[in-house]
Amino acid sequence: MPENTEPVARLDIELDVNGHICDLEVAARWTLADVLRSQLQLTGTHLGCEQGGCGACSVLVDGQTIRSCLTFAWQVDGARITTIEGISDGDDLHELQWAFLRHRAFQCGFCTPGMIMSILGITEPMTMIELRAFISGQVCRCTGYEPIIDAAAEYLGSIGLFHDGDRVATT
Amino acid sequence: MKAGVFSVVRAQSVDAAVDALETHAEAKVIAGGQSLLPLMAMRLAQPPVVVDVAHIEALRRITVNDDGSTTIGASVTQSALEAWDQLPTAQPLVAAVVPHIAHAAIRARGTVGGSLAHADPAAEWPALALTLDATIVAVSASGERRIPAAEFFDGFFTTVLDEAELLVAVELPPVTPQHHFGFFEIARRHGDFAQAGAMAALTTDGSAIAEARVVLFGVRDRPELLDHIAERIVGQRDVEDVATLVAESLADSATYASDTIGSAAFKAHLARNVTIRALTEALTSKGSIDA
Repeated sequence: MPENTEPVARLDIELDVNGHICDLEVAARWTLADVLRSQLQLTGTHLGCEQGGCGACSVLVDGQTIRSCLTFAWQVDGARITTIEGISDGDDLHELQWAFLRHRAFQCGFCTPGMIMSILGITEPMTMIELRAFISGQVCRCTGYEPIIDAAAEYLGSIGLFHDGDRVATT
Repeated sequence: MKAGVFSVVRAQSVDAAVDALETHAEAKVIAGGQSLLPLMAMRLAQPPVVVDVAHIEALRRITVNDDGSTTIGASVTQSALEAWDQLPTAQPLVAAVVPHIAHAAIRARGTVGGSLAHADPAAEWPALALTLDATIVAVSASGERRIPAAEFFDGFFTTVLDEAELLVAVELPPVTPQHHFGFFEIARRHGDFAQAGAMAALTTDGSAIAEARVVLFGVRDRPELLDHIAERIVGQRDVEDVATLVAESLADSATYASDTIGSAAFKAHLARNVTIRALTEALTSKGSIDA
């Protein structure tokens, strides 16, 4: 991350987006979501609340799920960004996307990219209780969440990150 | 909802950050931005200059000191702290609480220093600092200040930090085998801001409570150290007795203000219940108070 002592309203940044190096000139006020959607025309990342509460804008930054509406683009200068567009190649879908199809885990599709990118940020094994708490960070108005939970559990199970551990309620 | 026009100073040292805060009158500090960005997007905050401290190496460290105390740099993200392998042994209450801060994606960016400086009364870190009798370290052009948590929170989203003062670290006292901790918060969704929460740090003399720090948060304009309850439960060891004392002490709903979270009576009800549950966990988490 370059340093500057004089305040600047526009910055030159470099982002690795889905494997493509993008040199961008951005306003300080543009969020990562703004840059992905407007500058880079990657409109798969959606803006639901722009307050960090709905999770529709979730993307991966250096493998970790973040809210792209709550991150200025310059804050992730030099990072590796993965969006929903970057996890499939034509009809060659990601395993999690196949799980969503099998379980009918989307209807209008608005929350779906955020759901998928947040699930792909899971790196530690989860129980069903923990998975449900985790999905609390993503809002869906259509499905009632059950098929999303089923798809996520199936996918996480297939990569060894889901176990039916203790079922004691935490709250 | 988009932020207005602003300029940014990307500081790489504490000195550079403090200089920028001195030079630019209405500058705001940004670390993870998880509290500041929503404010800027809603135009509730419109700082002309923002000083980025997220990349200052010295602020990203977690250290266990020789005396067993833990120093957490202000720019340490909640997720980095959560993943720190020494957290469960060095600071078990922090280890229990951090997974309840917001959601994983917010914890990936939000920082410990940011949460303390933002001083949201429903946030976990201000309550943690108060419960653990932490010291907040801040730096300005006048030098370093070490501020006890009990003196740091000054009201609704207000701390005693000066305009051009940078919070650089929080120091947590060492944890001993005589410590028993408890935590309980209630929110509409897992990860939402707490409607009410409580934390308890008890030290025992082997058979009963010797000292207690009991903090209630989310129901007033800052986390509240419940001294009167702490005094009354010294010498107690039984969950039922402690629950009765808490219920008696927090019976007066007239001290709460009705708002969108609920009526004064509802808040008093939550306050009693979360405090009892936090104390119950503290008394039973290690099996018994004698552990």
